[in-house]
Amino acid sequence: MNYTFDFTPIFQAWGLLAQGAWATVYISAISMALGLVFGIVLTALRMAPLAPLRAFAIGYIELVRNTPFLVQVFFIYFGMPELGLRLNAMEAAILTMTLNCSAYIAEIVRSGVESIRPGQIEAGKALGLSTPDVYRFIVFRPAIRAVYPSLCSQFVLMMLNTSLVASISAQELTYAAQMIDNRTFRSFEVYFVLGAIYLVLSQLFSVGLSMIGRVYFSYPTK
Amino acid sequence: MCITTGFKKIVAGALMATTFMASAALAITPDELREKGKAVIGVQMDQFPWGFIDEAGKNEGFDIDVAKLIAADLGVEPEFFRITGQNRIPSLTTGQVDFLVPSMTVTAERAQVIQFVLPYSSNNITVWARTDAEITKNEDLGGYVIGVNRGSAFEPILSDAAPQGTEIRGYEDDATTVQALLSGQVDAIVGSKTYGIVIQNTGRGDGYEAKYKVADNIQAMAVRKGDQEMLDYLNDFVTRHDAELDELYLKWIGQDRADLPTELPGVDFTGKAGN
Repeated sequence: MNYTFDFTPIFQAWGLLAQGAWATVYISAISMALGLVFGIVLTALRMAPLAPLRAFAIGYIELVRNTPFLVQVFFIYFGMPELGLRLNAMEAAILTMTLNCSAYIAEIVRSGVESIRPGQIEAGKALGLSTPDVYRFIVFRPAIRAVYPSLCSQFVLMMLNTSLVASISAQELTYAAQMIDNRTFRSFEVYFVLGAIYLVLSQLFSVGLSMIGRVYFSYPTK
Repeated sequence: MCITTGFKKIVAGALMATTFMASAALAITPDELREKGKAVIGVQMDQFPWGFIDEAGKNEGFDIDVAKLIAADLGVEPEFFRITGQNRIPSLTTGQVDFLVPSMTVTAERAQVIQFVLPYSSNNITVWARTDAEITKNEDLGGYVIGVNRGSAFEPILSDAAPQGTEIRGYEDDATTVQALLSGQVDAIVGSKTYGIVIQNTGRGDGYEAKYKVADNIQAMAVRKGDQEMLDYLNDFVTRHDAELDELYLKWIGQDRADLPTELPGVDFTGKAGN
């Protein structure tokens, strides 16, 4: 038996793939933004002077980082309805992605904050900057700038992770591809094209994020 | 530089292997299986009561018993390979299994890619829903969110049967599809008649019922296209073991095995047409 490669059925279904790709970008972008905000809040809690706040943040981060993403997604989608919280697939996907990536982001941001030497904060205060300004210009921005490459790779990793939410019927890129595969049985071609689209998406995300970084962190350091 | 060359070689090798696997003749015969002493049989492991893993971690179910019967008939040891709705056709065409005992619906589209054996079982495609959902025919599906196993033959059947614009949600396998109904993520699901046994086993059977039969679902084993000797052997097996198959069906599905067709439009069970 000879297998002849045939990509036409996949390209015929490009509309489905485009919709799926858009959903993937949508889920990723929202979860990234929310995840960054929650991650920074978690970092603040993690470094708070009050022990219960620190304990909560550490507990949360450990819980999220030591359980599989797929289990978290199933728990929120199939488990939470038993407790009265019924989210549709898209909502459950975004919520889980946000909760998941905020824990990773918190750890990344914390390492950035810890790289700021106390002397710099004191120097800021000595120059007469207000406390919010010290935190904004001397702690937050340089901290994020120091860890920005790690943040970006975390974001890209997260975007790739969205492929897992197909299993709760969130209609993103992998879901679309599996639908096409189920109709055409062209597994090699479908997953080849799927991989290529993810590759393009990650490149776009990387370029986009590094452009944002270049604008936001363009101040001189020395 | 050495690393780059090495890497290039690996990539080239991998590509060649892929092409080779895709195009090589993977044919097997019953004699070759007897010589090896074992047959790798693709079976489902998450479809109660067709093929599943029991509490002791052993393969059980209708398909498993059928597969064991074939192995005994061939005089080989069965080795079970886990197939899912998504991977069963590729696992056969890429040579990971010798043949499938998959409780897989016979469709003309699939028959273009793999070779079906004469049908050995059937299973009505049924709409299951909450008792209070008012669903009696295809047109009623439009008012509800409908779940389906998206790797299955039920999915295209549902897409055709449901009115335009029906919200259809596809899940990974039968278990998650039933779970979606039970957790209220969907109002109804379309699939196997035997979902009822699964729902009953969760202890929540009272809240759900079978609404109506969408279509017949004729199931058959499958071999690779061109594996003529394997096909002839299994066709003969299905015919010879009629009584045992009846018995196994009654044991697992709890009903009498229906009369099965030996001809279906667009499907060639002899392996001879169009070759």
